[in-house]
Amino acid sequence: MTRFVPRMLRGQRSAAAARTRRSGAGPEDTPPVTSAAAAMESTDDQESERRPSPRPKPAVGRPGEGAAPPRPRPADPGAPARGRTVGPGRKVVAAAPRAGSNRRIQAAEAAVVRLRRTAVALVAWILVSGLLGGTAWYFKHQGDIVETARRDALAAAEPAAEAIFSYDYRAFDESVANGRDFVTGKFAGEYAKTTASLEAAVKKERAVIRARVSAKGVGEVAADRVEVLLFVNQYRRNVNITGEKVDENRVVLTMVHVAGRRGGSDWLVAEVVAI
Amino acid sequence: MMAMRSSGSGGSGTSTRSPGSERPGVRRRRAAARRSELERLRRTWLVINIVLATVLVLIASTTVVLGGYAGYSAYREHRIREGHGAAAASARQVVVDFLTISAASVTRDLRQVLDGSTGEFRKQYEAGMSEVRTAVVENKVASTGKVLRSGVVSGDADSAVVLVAVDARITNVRSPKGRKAHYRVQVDMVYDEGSDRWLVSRLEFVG
Repeated sequence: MTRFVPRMLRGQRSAAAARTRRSGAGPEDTPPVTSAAAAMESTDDQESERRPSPRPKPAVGRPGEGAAPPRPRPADPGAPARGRTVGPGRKVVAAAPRAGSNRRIQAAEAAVVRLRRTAVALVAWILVSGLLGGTAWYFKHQGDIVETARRDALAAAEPAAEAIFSYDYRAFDESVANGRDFVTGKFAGEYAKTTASLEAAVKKERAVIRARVSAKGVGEVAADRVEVLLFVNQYRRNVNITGEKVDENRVVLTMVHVAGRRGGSDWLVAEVVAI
Repeated sequence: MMAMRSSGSGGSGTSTRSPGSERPGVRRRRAAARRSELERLRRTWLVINIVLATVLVLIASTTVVLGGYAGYSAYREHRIREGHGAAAASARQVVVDFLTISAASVTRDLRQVLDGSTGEFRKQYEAGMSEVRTAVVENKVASTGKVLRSGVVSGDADSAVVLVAVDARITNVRSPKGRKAHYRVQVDMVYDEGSDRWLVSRLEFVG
């Protein structure tokens, strides 16, 4: 977009120069400009593609031209005193400009500067707010992960505890298989061992143990590991007792997140501590 | 075309090839064409600037709004988690205080519980204090509570429900050797802004 600016300015400048020339200031009366200024002006002319100039346009440009933003050049205030390359090595200078076109150029350049400043401020604003916003989103995301872990692990702990702490001598294998769905890791082996050692006693006593969770709360929470404190009641019936007895237990289940499970919860019991 | 080039240097004589009489009309038309071309470019430039600025402002505003929302939300969640940590700590302390009492320090023990409580629980406890004091002194009761675990059931910014698994060793005139008791306690905690503390508003043993 900024590429348009110098063209416009150059176009105006050359138009002004043309008008000045027509006003009859004799170029012969004007002394030649210094070689540096003349060189600058001649390059300027070479860049100006819009100028209806018959001269072949040389491929050479100002060093860095194209990448550089269109800065107002130091020579601009006096720019309309232009040198023109007429023949090889010859330079002719047009007379002083009109004040009006000079003001228009300065106004346009000031507008460019203002726009550039606004753009820089906007980009800085985006970068800063993007950085802060990104950080905020990161923390929110982390918080959401932990919050989700807390909620899901708490929800998964209740059916897990009820399955693990329930037995029925009439369908012992089923009870064990039911509990096995909720365990993982080291505790899976422990659970298998414990239930195997219980089997004879359970069948002999014709024990039916029904576990119910009466309260549950969350202790330590991490994204993939949650400790859940449960108050578990075990309602026991067997041949040695009349009616039903209740054991009021306090149990800590360590729930871990197991990704990619089909069916059921992603949260499994990795450790059981009765306290 | 050569006429244009020579326009500024007619007097030099080196490059004037076309007659001067053709020049004014041609130049006027070309100047007009250039002006309209400039006008078109200026308008394009303006439109591009407006569009770009609008897009930038929209992006920046969206970032600010979304970032602000995320920041506020994360901050709020952080505060709630921190609050629940404090609530659980207070709950454990009050439950220990509740189960720790002895004839020698009964007044101080009772006051300590009262200090950490509020609302309905405070009223009930206050009402039963003299009775408890008499029983403790008469039976030479000494009880020491010890928290094993706690867990947060639920809660929001200024309230929480906390489970506490607590044991107590209790001795009295009938059992001087003492016995160990296991408790399952649920407490309702409320945040007291004035003292920046979490207080117990309800305490019950879970069946």
